[in-house]
Amino acid sequence: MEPDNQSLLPRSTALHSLVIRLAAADRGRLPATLGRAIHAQVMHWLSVKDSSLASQIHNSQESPISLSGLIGHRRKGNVQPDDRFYFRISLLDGGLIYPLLAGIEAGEAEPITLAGFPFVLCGIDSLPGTHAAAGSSDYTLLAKTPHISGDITLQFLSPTSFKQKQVTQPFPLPELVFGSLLRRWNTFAPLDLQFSAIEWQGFVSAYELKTYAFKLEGGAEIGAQGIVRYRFPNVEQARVATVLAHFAQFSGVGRKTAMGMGQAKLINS
Amino acid sequence: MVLYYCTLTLHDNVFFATREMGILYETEKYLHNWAISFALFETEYIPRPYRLGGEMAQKPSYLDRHQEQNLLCLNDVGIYVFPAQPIVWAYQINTFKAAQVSYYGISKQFGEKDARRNYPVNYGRAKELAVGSQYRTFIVAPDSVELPSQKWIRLGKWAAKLQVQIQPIPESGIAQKSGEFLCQHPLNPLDLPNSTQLVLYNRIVMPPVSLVSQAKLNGDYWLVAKPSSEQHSPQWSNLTELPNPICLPRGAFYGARQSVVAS
Repeated sequence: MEPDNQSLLPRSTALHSLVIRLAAADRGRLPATLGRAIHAQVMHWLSVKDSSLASQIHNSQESPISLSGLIGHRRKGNVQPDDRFYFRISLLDGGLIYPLLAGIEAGEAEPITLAGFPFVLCGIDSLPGTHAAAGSSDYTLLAKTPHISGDITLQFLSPTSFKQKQVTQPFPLPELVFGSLLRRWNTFAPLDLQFSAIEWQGFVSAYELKTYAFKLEGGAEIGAQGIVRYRFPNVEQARVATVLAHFAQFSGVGRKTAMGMGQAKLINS
Repeated sequence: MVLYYCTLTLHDNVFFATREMGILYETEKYLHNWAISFALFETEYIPRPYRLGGEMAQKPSYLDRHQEQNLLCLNDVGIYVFPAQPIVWAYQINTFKAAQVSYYGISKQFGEKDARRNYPVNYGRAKELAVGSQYRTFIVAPDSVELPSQKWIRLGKWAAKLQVQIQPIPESGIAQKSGEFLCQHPLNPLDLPNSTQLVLYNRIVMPPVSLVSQAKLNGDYWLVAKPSSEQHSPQWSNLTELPNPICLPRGAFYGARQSVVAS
């Protein structure tokens, strides 16, 4: 089936990771997971300037957006006013940055409410180097990533799981991780940079993982969080896997990346 | 046209209610260029009415030509002040007792049922920029306007005292360029000319118009660079704090993009 996002406008080969900095505006208890609320807020910002674009993204098979959960220090009891948090919005289509920023700007004076809890917007960081989680790149640049070794270590920052033969697989097997990344790369990268299908021959050489429950409206999703090292004996596969591992910090890995699951970053290559 | 380098040193705590979070009122660490512009140039270039009453009272008049105290007066003279970037800054949190007014909250007396602690329940905390904080900014003004090298201004809700030092940047260090550039200095996007395109930026959310920092732009700009050490003239000796090099957009003036309404 042809991906729905082909009709999104405008297309750009840039990749962006924006950090939205928030401060709690009241005291109270925050739900453990705010993935759905953050997704709703981001879609609201997009729909402010272009509601048809927002609905296209909402209905697309592969979302061009991946989102983190709410990151920051959580007190044991209630959140206090001025407690600082942030979340990350990664855009796999660089053309979305302008409607998104315009939408945020249009509504920046309004309080932000996530799961019924009020926040105030403190700032947006989008330039690399200004916040640890902010970044930008380009498909053309990523495709030229030099291949250094066959070992690739990925850190899964939020619960990550995969659909495998109609069941949910929480262990990040190499063919699932890099298969998921390859599919998303081929959906959003320009035609000349797309990779052909690969039968992955990599294996897991080390890992330190734990499963966590990610609470969503439909129930808890179990996913793995931690560090996994992959080894690719085939040189060409190692090269493609290196490119995809760099892409992972923008795209996320596996299921429900637009709800906060599957946030990943490359530790070394 | 002269480009001035300007440093501001806080001799009092500066407070603006940039963000209100419960009972905490926080001041953003950047200083807004519109606030500095009023503080530097009111009475001399911006008329300051003795008293305002009626509909006009308490209504901001930043870009309203029909109001007496507006920033467009500075456009007429050719003066423009960039927002100020913190060089050294610290915060001080002060607790204050809020007015007990009936429309805000029911006043509580000491010892009353809901006044459980031995202080009034109507109180707030102001997160203020502390004494000693230092800022840098840039001012553009025509040759005919003579700016004093030292000046004191008052800024913020408490009319805090700030020392201002203004030094001209020698023309030999300023080059006019066009194209894509990175501006490390904070900018007011509403004051950027339409010919300058904002490509990517960090946003500092603050009223009345949010600023941008570390912006990637496309348009006309000044490249300010100190000459090499052996070519240093005495004019550069006082500009040791000036970042080297720095790019600043050209052609900025108050309300250049008036389609956005300041709140």
